Amino acid sequence: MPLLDVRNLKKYFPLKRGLFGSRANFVKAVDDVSLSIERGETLGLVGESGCGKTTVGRTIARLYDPSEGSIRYDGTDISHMTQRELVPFRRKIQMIFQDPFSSLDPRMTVGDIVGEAIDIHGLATGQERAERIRSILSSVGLSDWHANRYPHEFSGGQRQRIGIARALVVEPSFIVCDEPISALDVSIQAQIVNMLEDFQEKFGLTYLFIAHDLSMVKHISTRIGVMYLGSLVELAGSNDLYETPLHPYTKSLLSAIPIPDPIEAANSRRIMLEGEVPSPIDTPPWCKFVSRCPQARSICGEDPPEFREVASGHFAACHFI
Amino acid sequence: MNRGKISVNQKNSVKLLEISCLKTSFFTHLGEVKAVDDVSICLDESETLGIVGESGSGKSVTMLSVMRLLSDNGRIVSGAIYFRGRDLTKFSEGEMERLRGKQIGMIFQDPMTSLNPVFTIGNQLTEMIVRHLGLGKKDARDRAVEMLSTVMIPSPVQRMKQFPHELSGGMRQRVMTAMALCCHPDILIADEPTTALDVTIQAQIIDLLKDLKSRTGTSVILITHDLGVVAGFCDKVCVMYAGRIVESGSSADIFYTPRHPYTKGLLKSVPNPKKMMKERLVPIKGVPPDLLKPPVGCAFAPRCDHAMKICILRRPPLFEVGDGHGAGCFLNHPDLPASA
Repeated sequence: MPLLDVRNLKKYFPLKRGLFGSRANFVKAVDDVSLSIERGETLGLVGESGCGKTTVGRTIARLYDPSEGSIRYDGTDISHMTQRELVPFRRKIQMIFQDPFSSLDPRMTVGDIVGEAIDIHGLATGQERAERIRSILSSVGLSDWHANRYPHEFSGGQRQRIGIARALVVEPSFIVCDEPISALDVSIQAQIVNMLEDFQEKFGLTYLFIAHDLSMVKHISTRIGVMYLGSLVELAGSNDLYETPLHPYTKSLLSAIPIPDPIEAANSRRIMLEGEVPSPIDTPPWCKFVSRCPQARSICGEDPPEFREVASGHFAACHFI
Repeated sequence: MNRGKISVNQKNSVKLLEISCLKTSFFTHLGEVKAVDDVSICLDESETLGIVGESGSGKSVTMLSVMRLLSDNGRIVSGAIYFRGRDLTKFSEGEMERLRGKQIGMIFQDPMTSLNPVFTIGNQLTEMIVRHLGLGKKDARDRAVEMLSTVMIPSPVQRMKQFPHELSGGMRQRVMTAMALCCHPDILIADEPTTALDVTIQAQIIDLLKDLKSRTGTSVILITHDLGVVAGFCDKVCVMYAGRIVESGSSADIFYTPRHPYTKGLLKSVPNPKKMMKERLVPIKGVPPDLLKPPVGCAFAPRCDHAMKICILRRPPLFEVGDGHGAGCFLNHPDLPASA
């Protein structure tokens, strides 16, 4: 049984329209996404901004209520639980946020930020609580005396370490990492990625790793899902996806990765996408990629392609695969 | 009298842009921040130069010094910036205004904050053309439409009437590029032009810059933290760290035979998506130095695995390690036995 099993997940955000605030339109941020994550693996989720990858992560962590669909964590459906019922799952499912500047309360010391998580779940008090804070801070590479400092006194990389300590201190088994490195400098990114990998090995953690940096996602993930306008268009093992991408969107996305090697960069050919991502408001019922797809034919504007397994463990949604 | 002074290099030809021993500092209530500390850069006609570095390395400030667009507490402390042999640091504000946009164009990271939100795209473009090229309103308008189609903006006539907020990030960056290029500048400075954009849009903008460069012969200075963008675009690369250039050379020099531990570290800390086997990343340990209290010796020494005694005591100059390839690290000292 997979640790996390998401079926037909939908998350629509209403847009207020009209004089009396009648709700006319919806932003279909997540539109029918199904995926499962095995224990101990890292599932990468990539796509352009606005494709719904963050919303998937936040809905799985139940920071949003799903509009439709089920989220099974370890066999239990958590998709419609109340806040009270969710408390034990909040300890198991943690989140690391993109922006280490806005995700830490500026008026709390680092010790309080990390300690708050311990208090909420009633894990320890007094001496033991202090000891836990000390040990988690040291395992993310911070010192004892950092506990009495405030977030603004730290650099971006250090703040991200605090965010990781806060997530890890309650001993979760599943962590949603929402662009944890994109706000950091290149030399610091590798430090954080290595640390996440070490913790995964040490504590047997499972990650959902959301990012737009395709080379880093490939590096850290076991499998990767590619999203476009709220839907998954392709899902495969990370080497498989980079070696034999099947969906035309994945192909062009991968060809757009800048390669840090002048000769390879000169030899690589780009599949240019025309135009930009269309608006996610009232997306068409047929293939959402049709307006930019270099291979689109008439059927693409009529039927939605099915997200199906085209090779062992390799899923894609396109009529011509 | 200095204004007419011509700087001459060894080949006796005047460089398009020559930054010589530039020092720029910001004066804050905490003290002097030496953002750019003794930087020299040369740029030839039709050349593409990449400046790579992390945030706070001084790459943007170097170029803002060239444009004289520093904030109020920033000042060029010493050094010279020769543009076609004339020292820009001696220019009056009026002279700079005529030069900016006309001979040196600049595009910025965030096109939303660099476009004026209360004027239409057309308004902003024509104002610039009228001012620098002295065309009439109508000719300027035609020129603006032509520029918008050059940067491949669909239906340019309609776009002229739109406001910046009505355009997407990629489109705004195209408008900025059109604006920077409409007077055929000799140099286009692009400060992280694709950082705020998605990869597919980034690829479109980089291709656009490449295409415009080959058509107009403009020299381009690309400031970025993304080594991948540099590899596919630049002829020459300067790597900056803590306000100094630590390595400079051709693109091939920097990517295939880096000679400074920081450059090597940067290259090792980004995964190559073409590699099938998973290798553990090798991060650079520690954090960049505080520029309020920069180290006496090499600024990278506290993070460097190869640091020697001299590195902590003295600043390494840029040693020549190959033709046009320099590295500011004592490991490249000519008296040292051949090192790895």
